[in-house]
Amino acid sequence: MSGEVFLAGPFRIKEKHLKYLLLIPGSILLFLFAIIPYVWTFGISFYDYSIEVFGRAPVFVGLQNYATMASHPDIWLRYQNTAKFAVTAVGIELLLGLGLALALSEHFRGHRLVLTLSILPMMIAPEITAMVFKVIMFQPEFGFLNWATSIVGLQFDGYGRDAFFAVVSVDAWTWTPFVMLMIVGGLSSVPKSVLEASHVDGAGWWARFRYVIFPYARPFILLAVIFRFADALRTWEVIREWLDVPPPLGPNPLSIDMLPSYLYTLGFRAFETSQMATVGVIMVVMSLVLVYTYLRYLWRIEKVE
Amino acid sequence: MLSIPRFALIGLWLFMVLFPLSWIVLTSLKSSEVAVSKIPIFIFTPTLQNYEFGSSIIDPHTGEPVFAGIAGQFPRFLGNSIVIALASAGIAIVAGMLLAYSLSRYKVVGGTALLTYMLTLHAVTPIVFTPALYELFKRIGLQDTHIGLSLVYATFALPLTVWILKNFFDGFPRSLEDAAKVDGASTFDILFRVVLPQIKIGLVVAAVFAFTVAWNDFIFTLTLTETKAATFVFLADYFDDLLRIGVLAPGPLASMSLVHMLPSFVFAFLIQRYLLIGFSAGTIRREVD
Repeated sequence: MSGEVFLAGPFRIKEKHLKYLLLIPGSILLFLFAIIPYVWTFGISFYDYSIEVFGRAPVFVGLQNYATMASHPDIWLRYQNTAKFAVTAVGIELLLGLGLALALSEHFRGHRLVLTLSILPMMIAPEITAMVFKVIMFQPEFGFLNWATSIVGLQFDGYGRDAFFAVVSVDAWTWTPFVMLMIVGGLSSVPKSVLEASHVDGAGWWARFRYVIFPYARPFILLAVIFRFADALRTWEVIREWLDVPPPLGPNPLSIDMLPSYLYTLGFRAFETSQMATVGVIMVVMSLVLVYTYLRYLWRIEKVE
Repeated sequence: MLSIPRFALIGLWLFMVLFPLSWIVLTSLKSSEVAVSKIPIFIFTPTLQNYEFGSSIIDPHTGEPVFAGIAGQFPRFLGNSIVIALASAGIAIVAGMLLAYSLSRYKVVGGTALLTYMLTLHAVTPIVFTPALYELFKRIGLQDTHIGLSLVYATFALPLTVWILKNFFDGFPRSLEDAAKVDGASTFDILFRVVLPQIKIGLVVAAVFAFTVAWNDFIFTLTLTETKAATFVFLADYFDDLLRIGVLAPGPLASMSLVHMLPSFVFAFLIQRYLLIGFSAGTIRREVD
């Protein structure tokens, strides 16, 4: 090979240049709307600045925002709430998702239809899900769940006392199918012959799960959990909707406010842009760690296969 | 055949998924009095009045229409959503396809870093970027424009399209391309006539997920648009405003939400075997059926 390739028609180009030429359109987009905002956000976290007054010059304050945010009791509460939310929601999703994946591991009539219907919640815009559940299911006067729980004699207060349960259940409703889908994907690699052999050998369901199915499912369970933990750092819409419930019905904000919603409040309610950027930088680092863990693990699995 | 516990678990889950969805359908067909009944009403005379988008909601306390200005805009917002989602999916597919092809076929300096960076972009909450984009948009005059919003959505859909398409390119045998090259085909001939026709399904999956990024987003339409380029998801903000003044309108909310969900549901059935690829952001290439 000459190292030159035809691009199209009469245009020729060195192959080693071509690969960079192909990167250009995407890189322009990333540079303009992802990298510049990253750099700006990182930079502004060292300044005192608010977007409320457009054009006001930022004042350099060094690490002061980081010091403020580290000593702020508010933010530690948001960390705790985020962790509490992530552990509860992902825990429920894992149990249900694993159960469903195992239930769906054998094919039956209508298998594919069931699978597709099961994942519908993930397709809906999170904001729409949040709004619909807030108004149609959890509204204290005519919400369906309030009526259903009152029938069985429970005092359910999805807007107030039980708000945490409400937002976790909306999250579980939406994302259990994701965990299910990941594990179903993992289980598709269990060789049929191995399963049949264990049947013939008379292994009980627990032994089959523990020694035959689980080893295949485990990497995917772990990937799903890391993925969902990263997602918990993005869960905003449902929290925003619940924080937005007009008083006197609304929840105690301190009980459900999490990092993304705190970020939004700082940026667009309090207009503390530089403090928001500070929290944003910390969240980017947290996401980066999760993404890196996920990829390391993913690549290790791929190497084994 | 399904054993009883399996059947029970699947049945329970299907009920949990389908009941709220059916309840939304029922609510969307209810008149305003029926919809706010304290005891749920299952049998009623259905009405299509909630599907007349653009008609404003009547405040039951005063009998006056409220927020008529915004209500009339919703048919246009729906149009905005369609135009912007299609445009951003188109941009993301073209740019992502070229980028993925390069990363799949050549050893590019910093290629792995770029892939990792893009996955981070997908993982991090877009709220982090909004003040920066708000400032940027103000400076370059993209605020409240269709093109501005489309470009931002294309950027945030790019990680998905690149990861999904790279997987499909990786799975395509190189020998076929080399054969075409020996025959004197140009790179673009090879890409468009040899490779892309074989990975059509990958393009469809990537396009669907790119479309969904724009279609389902709320934060950018909330912060980067006012009324001109706002998308249909803006309806949530509108109903929040109604709630704030004490107007409950479950019927119209249900009908509009349902219309917003429909395209996504159609997509789910269209690419059902490939949903795991998209939802794992292209990281896991497994067909599920």
